[in-house]
Order: sequence, then structure tokens, then C-alpha cells
Amino acid sequence: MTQPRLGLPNPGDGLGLREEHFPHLMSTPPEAWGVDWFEAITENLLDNHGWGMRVFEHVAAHRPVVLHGVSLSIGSTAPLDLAYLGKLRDLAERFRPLWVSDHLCWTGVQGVNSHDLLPLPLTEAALAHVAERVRAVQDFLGRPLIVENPSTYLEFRASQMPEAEFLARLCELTGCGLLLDVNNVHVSSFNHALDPMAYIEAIPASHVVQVHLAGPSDHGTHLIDTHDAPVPDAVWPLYAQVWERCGPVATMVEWDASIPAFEVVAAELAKARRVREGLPLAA
Amino acid sequence: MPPDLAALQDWMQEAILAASGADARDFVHGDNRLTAEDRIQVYARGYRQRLLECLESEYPLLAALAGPTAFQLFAQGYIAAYPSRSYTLYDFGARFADWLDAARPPGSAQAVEAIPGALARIERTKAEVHRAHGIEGAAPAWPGIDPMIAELLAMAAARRWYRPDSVRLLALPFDFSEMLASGEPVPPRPEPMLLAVARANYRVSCLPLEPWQYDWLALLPGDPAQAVPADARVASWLPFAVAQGLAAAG
Repeated sequence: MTQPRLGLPNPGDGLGLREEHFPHLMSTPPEAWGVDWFEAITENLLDNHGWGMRVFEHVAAHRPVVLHGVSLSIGSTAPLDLAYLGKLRDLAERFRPLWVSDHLCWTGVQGVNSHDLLPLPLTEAALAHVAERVRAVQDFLGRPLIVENPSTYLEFRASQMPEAEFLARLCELTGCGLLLDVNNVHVSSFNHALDPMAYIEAIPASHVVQVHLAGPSDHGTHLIDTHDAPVPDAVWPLYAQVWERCGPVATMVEWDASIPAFEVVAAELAKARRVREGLPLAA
Repeated sequence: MPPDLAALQDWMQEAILAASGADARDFVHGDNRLTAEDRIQVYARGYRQRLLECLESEYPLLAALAGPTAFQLFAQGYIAAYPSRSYTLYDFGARFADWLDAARPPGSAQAVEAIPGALARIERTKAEVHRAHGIEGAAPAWPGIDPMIAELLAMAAARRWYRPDSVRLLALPFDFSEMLASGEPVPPRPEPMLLAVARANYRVSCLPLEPWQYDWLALLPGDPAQAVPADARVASWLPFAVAQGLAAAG
């Protein structure tokens, strides 16, 4: 039987490392940060020998870190980018992150990178293809890959199974972990008129090593995963359900656009703690 | 690789890059809220918006000087001409200045149409210097000695000098001094300008140079092992140059 979180630690409540918060982090003692761990975007660190890397060194010296990528393109039919993977491995060897994650998606083919997390058709053939590549990446990095469920805005006619089943079978085939983005479950379920609670129930709990929380933008007919707002009310009951099924598990708030002060994002993270304790969101 | 998956990804990428929902119904579900074409357009709009924001972030002075309409035209042309081919968005804007120069109407180097390319070259250079290998954290030549005193010692001892990777030199057809000093989109003067973009203590500065300063820096090797002694003419300028990260003792 698989150990909870694949045997990986639960570092507690974390935040995404963002440039807007660098002055705060460099001028405030770590014990005053009020954050247990940080997630850095892998691509922001690769080839970076400037201030961003200096801040990451400082943060990583005082708190556990994880590396979260957006360009692995694990679902692409283009060959794996070995130069990228080599740099990722070097970075991971240097900083020893708790884990390395990326998304169940593809970002481009024919050498192009759309810099978007594009959806896959959820077919048997796509599952076999992604599983083969996850195994290759895990062998290359020498560690389990943690795969995040993306927000999606379309469903392919070719799909043969729900996304949660695709992820569960991917875990079974490869031993990979899951980064369960609760906001993405909410966004995709809204966009495709699906039941988010059924999605969460179908996720293999012991493979979930991290949870993402974020705020999407509401376009009336659909939601977009913009990470530019507080976590919406609809997401908190889903988070409570995830915690009941998968907790205790590392929880993190993402805020990537219209980024407010560090204290505001940290306060959003504190709401997660209140939800876990069954308290009202407002203190 | 599954051939159906490859064909589907080829089709979807082409649809996003062309912002075309043609054939979308063959591959994608629609419903009463969003058609299959609408759903492709969500991705197509997101793709352009993301790259536009990337350029706006890297080229804020150009965006301010050109105004939103002209800048979006520049950006749209560039996005169409040079889709990203890198794992990092940092690389996306690398050819923007070259593209602006190539796309402008023919004219002299100091024609007003040449301003966007010249300004973009400065802003791209700043972005490169931000991430370059700098001299912050380098082992001091005289450990335990105050850095300012160590610099004086270096000069007195006729140390050998090199130009760090975090320094770039630009010869520009316009004088952007006022814009760079104020941070405001002030039109440049049509006069040549020599400029260094350098980093010290992780702060990036744009420093106008005299021709002799530019020439001396241009002659300095980037490799400390190949460093050369300081020219006597620059001795009085060296404290400033070292403090700004323009030169370092090998």
C-alpha cells in the first residue's frame, strides 16, 4: 500500500515566491515571515544569476522549498527537452527541494512554446504516452515527479475517461505524485458542468503531496485560472473535502497577477488553517 | 508517439497561433454557454495576452513612449513573426529590437521611426544584465579589508582589469539621457550616445559614457585571466567605474 504523500513530508502552509515580495523577504527576519515553506517557479531560476536567484538562495537557506515548473510539457508529442531537464536536475541537486512538480498538459509542438498549459485528450493512447514520459523524467531526475491537474477551457471529443481517472491511472502506472489544485478542480468543473466533489473523491489520496489554492476570474460563461484574486468561497468547501481525504498535506496559495502585499497573501493562507479547524473564514 | 495525439496537438497549436476556430467542432465539445470555436478562442486570446504582457513588462519605457495602440501593433507583429521557442518567457523578447529595426520604414539611423528599436535595445539589455553573472559575492582581492580600501589598493598596485558579464556597452543613434534619468517617456535627442548598462549590488544602472571611457571598457576582456592593466588616463575614473560594477580587478 502506498504511504501517505508517497512518504514525502508535510511542510505545512506555503506561499509562491514572487518578485513583488522580494523586498519584504529580504528585509524581514525569516521567523517573522509566518510561512512554513515556499514554492518557486522553476523557469524563473534557470539561467538566472541575478537578484531573483540571490533571494531564492536566502529563502532556501531558511525554509523548505519546492520547484514548480510550467514548461516540462509532459503531454507533448514533441521530444522531451533534455537541455531543460538537465538544468532542472542541476537546480534540484543544488537546492534539494522537497519535490519537483509540473502540470498534466502540453505547452507546444514543433519547437514552439505557447507558455500555456494546454489540455490533453483523455484517451488510453495519451495515458500511455504521458506515463512513458513521466517514467523517463523520473528516471532522469532520480525522484518522483509531482503532477498538477490543470484548469481547462475545452474538452476533446476523443476523450475516453474523466480527468481524475486519468490522473489516478497515471499514478498507478508511474508512481508519480499529485499536486491537487483545488481551484483548478473548481474552474474546470464549472467550465465543463461537472461535479467537483466527484472529481476529488476519484483522486488517489495517498498520491497527493501538495495542494494549490488560488482565485480565478469570472467571465460569466466560464472561469479563467488567473491567480489574481482571493480564493473564492466555492473553493473552500472543496479544500475541506480534500483535507478530509488527503490531509495532512502541504497547502499553498498562488497569487500571480495584481499581486497584493505579502501580508495579504499570507492572510489568505491563514484562511486555509481556519477551514481545516472548522472555523469561519473571517477571524 | 500516438499519431492521433500528434495530429490533434498540431491542429490545436495552429488554431491558437492563427486564432482560428476552423474545424473546432470536429475535435472539441461545445455547449450552450461556449461553442467549440469560443473555447479555442479562450486559449488563443490567452496566448496573445500572455506574450503581450511579457513584452510590456520587459519594455515599459517603449510601451509608455509609443502608447498602447502603437505598442500593441508592435507586439502583435512580433508575436506573429517570432513565436516563443524557449522554455522560458525571458527569452521571448530577445529579438524585439531587431524586429522593430527591420520592420520600420527605410530612413536614416536618426529618423524618428528608429527610436523604438534603439529604446528596445536598451530595455532588453537591462533585462539581460539583471540575470547575468555579476560580481556580487565574488571573493575579495584582499579579504578582510574594507572594499573601498581594497579598490584603492587595487588601483595603486596596478591590478589587471576585466569587464564583468553583467556589463553591456551600447552605441546608440539617440541620446536617451533624459528618459533614463527620469524614467519618463521623454523623446530622445537625435544625437549619438554611448551607454553602459551595468549591475552593482544587484542594482542595474544605465550610465552615459564619454568616448574614451567606452573605448577603454570595450577593450577590456571579459575573462579575468586575460585582464589588462589600467590605462593611466582612466585612473581617476576607476573608483566610479568599480563602484558601478563597470570593471573589476582580476
